Amino acid sequence: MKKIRINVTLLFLLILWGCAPSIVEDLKGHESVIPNVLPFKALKLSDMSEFQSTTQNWSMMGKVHSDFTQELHIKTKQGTGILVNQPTSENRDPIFSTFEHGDIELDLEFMMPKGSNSGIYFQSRYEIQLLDSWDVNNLTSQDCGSIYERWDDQKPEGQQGYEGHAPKKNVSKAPGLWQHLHIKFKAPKFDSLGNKIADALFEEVSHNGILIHENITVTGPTRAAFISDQLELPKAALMLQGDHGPVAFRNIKYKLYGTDTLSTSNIEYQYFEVPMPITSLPHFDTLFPKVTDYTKKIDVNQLSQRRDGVAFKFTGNLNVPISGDYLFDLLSDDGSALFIDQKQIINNDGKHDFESKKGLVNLKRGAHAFQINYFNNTWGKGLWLKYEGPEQELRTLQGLYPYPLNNTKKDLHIDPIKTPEMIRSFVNYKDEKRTHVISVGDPQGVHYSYDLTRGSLLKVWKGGFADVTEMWEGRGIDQLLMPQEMSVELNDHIIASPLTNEASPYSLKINNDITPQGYRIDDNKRPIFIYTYQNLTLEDLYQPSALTNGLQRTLSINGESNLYSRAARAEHIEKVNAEFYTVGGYYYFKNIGESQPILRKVDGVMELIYPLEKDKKIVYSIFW
Amino acid sequence: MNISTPFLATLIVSLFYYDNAYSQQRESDYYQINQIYVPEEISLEVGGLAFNDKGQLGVSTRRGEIWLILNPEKPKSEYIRFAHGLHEPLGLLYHDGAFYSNQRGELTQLIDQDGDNQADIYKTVTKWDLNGNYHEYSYGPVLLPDGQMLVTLNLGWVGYGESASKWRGWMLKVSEDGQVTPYATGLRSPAGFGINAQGDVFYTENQGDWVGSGRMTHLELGDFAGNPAGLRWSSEKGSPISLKVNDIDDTRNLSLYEYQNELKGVKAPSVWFPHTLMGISTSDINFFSKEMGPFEGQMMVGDQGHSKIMRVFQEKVNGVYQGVCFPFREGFSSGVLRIVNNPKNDAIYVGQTNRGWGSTGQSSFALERMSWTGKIPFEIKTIKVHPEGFSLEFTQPIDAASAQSLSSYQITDFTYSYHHFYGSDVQNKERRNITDISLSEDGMNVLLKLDQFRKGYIYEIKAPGILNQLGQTLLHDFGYYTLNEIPVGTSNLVKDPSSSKKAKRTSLKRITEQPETGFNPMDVALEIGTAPGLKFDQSNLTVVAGSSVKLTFNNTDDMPHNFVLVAKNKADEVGIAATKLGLDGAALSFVPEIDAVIAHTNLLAPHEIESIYFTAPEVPGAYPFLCTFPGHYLTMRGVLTVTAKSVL
Repeated sequence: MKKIRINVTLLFLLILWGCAPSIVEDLKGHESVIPNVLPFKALKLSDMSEFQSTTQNWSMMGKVHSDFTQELHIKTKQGTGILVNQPTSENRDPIFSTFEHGDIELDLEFMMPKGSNSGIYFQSRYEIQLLDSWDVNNLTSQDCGSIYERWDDQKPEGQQGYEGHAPKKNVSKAPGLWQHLHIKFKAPKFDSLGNKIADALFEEVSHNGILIHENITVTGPTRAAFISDQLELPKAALMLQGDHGPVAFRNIKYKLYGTDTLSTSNIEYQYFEVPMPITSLPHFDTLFPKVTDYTKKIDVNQLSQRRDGVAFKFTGNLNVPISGDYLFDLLSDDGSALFIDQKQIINNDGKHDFESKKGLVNLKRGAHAFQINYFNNTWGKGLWLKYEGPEQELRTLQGLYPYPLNNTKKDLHIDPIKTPEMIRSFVNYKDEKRTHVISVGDPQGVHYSYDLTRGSLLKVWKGGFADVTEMWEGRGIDQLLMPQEMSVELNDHIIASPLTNEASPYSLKINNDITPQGYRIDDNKRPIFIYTYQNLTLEDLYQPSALTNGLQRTLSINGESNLYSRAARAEHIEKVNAEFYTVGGYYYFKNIGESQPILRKVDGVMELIYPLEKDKKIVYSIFW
Repeated sequence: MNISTPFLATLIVSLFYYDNAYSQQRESDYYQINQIYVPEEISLEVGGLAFNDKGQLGVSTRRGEIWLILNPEKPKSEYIRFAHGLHEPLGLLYHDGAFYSNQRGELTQLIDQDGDNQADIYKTVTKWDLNGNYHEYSYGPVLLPDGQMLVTLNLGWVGYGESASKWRGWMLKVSEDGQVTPYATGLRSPAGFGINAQGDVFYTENQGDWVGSGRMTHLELGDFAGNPAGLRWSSEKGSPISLKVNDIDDTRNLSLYEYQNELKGVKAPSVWFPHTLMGISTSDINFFSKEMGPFEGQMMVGDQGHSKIMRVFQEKVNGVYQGVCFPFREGFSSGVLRIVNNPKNDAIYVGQTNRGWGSTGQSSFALERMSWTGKIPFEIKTIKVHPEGFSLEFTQPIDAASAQSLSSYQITDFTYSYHHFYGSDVQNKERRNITDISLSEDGMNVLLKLDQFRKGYIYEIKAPGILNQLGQTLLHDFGYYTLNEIPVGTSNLVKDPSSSKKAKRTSLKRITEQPETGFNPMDVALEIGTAPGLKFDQSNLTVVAGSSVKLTFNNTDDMPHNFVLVAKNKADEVGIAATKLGLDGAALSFVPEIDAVIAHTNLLAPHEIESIYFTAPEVPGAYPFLCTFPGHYLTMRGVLTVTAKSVL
């Protein structure tokens, strides 16, 4: 049985910046990749030069792992790329960046050993708490991801801590695993006399892909900020806490934002009415414009009420405040193109629905000439140009977002009560939409999504099961099932692959001999997925693992073959103790059955594979 | 109390009127609809219906469940969840001890091995490729006489119908062991299909791109029914079709019937269901049993948006199917998607859902049972083509005087354009003259001879003046006959269809240029859009009395809508009037020419935008606005609040 929870929330349509990077050919015929966003500036972690000097507890290491069963355990290997803190009673100072920041977008990974504690202090003052909060149920403003409380000694006992914000939900992973943080922070603002006119703001804090804070203002430094007074500043160094236990950081990157913006001026437009059908941008030079005029706003719906068979050419000045790379995103229905200084930056031509194309260009400070061409054949009509630049956040430059900005939806959640719930749907996995996916929610609280075509476990999560709003609200345009909680995406596999020997590479191409047959339901109402290979049958079962509060898999075959099944793949897979492997620091793996996994390295990447043997089930569990 | 004479007279007249109206036939006198109990916790958004061999009714739902209703014929039956977790299964079949259901991504066989009324095996019969678009629906299966199954695969929607993955837009045959044989294409949104007593396959289509109006097509192996998207796969192994996407040319201003004569392989429909006049979203096909009244062998065709079932009679002329559709029974509680006969064949079960599309019936889902009361309604039973006109057969003998009167009838013919646009206006509409009337001796048939025939045209045949022996008018006095062929022996009636076209009307209540006088552009600019599921994106707008308003309506939906502002409390009146515009509806953008309309936009195609200018009413209050596209007015509405001018 199942329970459906319905609550009404106002979902704001997030304006997304696209999904996959696009590949285009540049003028020389070389393929170059246009990124989805301008690159972050990576903190150099090959030495300590990006940090101010501090005590010896901070060092650069090549590898780190931690046995999740031992308190404050951390084990390192020489090398670079990982900033590690191993405090002692003498050496336990924090570490400060050499750069100073005001508004910042910060992205990093961190690892907390069992029972450890640390923190990230924006401007050395405003703390996002780091803590081993794995499986904590009642979250406080002390838990991992919280905006730490402020402190006032003058207040009565028990009320000294204030303005702390617990995360919206617990998305912490097990100790010793890498976790992800993405934070948009706005520094306090001051007038010319130095009076504060705006508080510091945590605009967004995402932990392991889940938004845990939104628009939280902080009226002053949080407790234990490493500064002598309560002074707030427009700019200051980033600080990582060192005195409360071991912690490691890697892939630290950021973007700093200022107040300059790109702007347009002197926009002149020509408006054309063109016989239909139009399938691409017309040659404007051969046409006579119906209207020639100036405008401030490029709004093709405002400038002409006519829908069918229209075209526009806009020209004007583009005023560039800071030299550097600018990324433009041009969304239109139908075709459009962007030129800067007579050079085509974006070609979004052709007859199409609302579709966006990006273009990257390096611009010097000062005025440039821009031109936008646009046409509409029939139906949908609109144009929207966004940009991102040096020290400039993604924002609209011209045109309009073409869809309604808010939409009230009922949140639809499914949670299993007594027996498992299965739901087939589309599921997003690593930037693509998988279409033949089943998600299974177990009343014991461990859930997964599984690609039925490939026999591949896609993601696992704990807590609430499925958010099906995007399937069952209205038409269900996305048809997407989403985990209610933080989920761990696993590496793409296929159920089995024939190998000539234990060293042969494992192909991800689906072998035509392996055919999905659907599933049967076992006595516990769990599905067992069935595949055939020649005249053999493979059966694949997933169930909650009592041992580790994770997921246990059982895979079997009913005859002899040359099939192997790959269970894990990562840059490095190693044992953290006698029983458990860490898979790339993303999750833990433990063999349980009689069949033993083979740890191997293929093309520099490590894998755990099993031979599929009759009467010898493959049984293992994973947790995170 | 002092009652004035005029008042009394009015009272008496209205009582008489009431009585007279009451003596008229009502659909419910002949066909009764009863709601089937659904437990509160079940969202029975019906996608498929099938009885099993124990007389239990299987119901697949859009939320992926299959429910077994153990004793559907009893007042409050037990529900057991037979299966769950399927991906929007829009069809259900029981065959040989198992249920079969077509999910978006595969055709699945569901087997209950241990007899506990819950499926233990979900077997993949065959898998369909998907591109991940919501509009990629899969329907069926329907059992063929040879034991194979028929399925259809809907096109995706990306501003137009798209076949982004293999066999989208096709009808396919599937054997029990999963062998797939492509059968026909040109399909767009093929929610309903069935097989008649002769074993011929029919499917129903929804108005959309390349589809001027709802219709039904007789599909034979290798047919192309009109929407070219599916032709993308015509080179694939097993395809019985050689046409390619680029072979299809819609620039010549032809009807689909005319195009059929130009290009081999194209198949024109056997019956058109004129858009908004019959229905707006054609769904399932079912057949009348003899226990269901005087229409044995005729078809029932559902309509989702209008919450009704239409009746279809077809004949084969010169080897080609063609026929007529009539209104039959409206008033279902939600959108009619599926119709099945009960095992005794004396009732039908009607499965309904309106999530995401809205319907005249306001429930979000329903399961209803319809049965015949045993009384014979006074109806046009059939219309058959005759070399010189049409022969109308009635269910009761008709009054000779009314039959012989020319004014009893009205015949109009028209067609639709075949083009890539969404839907089509009524084209080349003309009144036909009746040149001769002859009534059969038994009074059951009347033959109407015409001044001319136009092949490929749709004939609106109305008989409002026909009375039965009791002096009653027909329960439904019109039908639409699709004329593909004329029986041998034709006189010189056939003429070349004229290409005269009627221009769209201009309306004084639709001002699209800013008025030069009396309009203050600084007053109010309002913007309103649409939300999926027949909604405006705002249900409340506010303006000050007498202000100059510029209102921009942005139709972001994937179907046509208009914006009509009406006088206080007049939303229903205007909405109903719009549904009665008949063949002129499309040309009028479905805006009736009545005083209650204050201002309106044209009917906007998906993604179209229009701004109108009007002066807000001087009297404060709540002025409803609505979309008057037939089938939309009940749900798609809001209120413009006019506030008093501030007194300074």
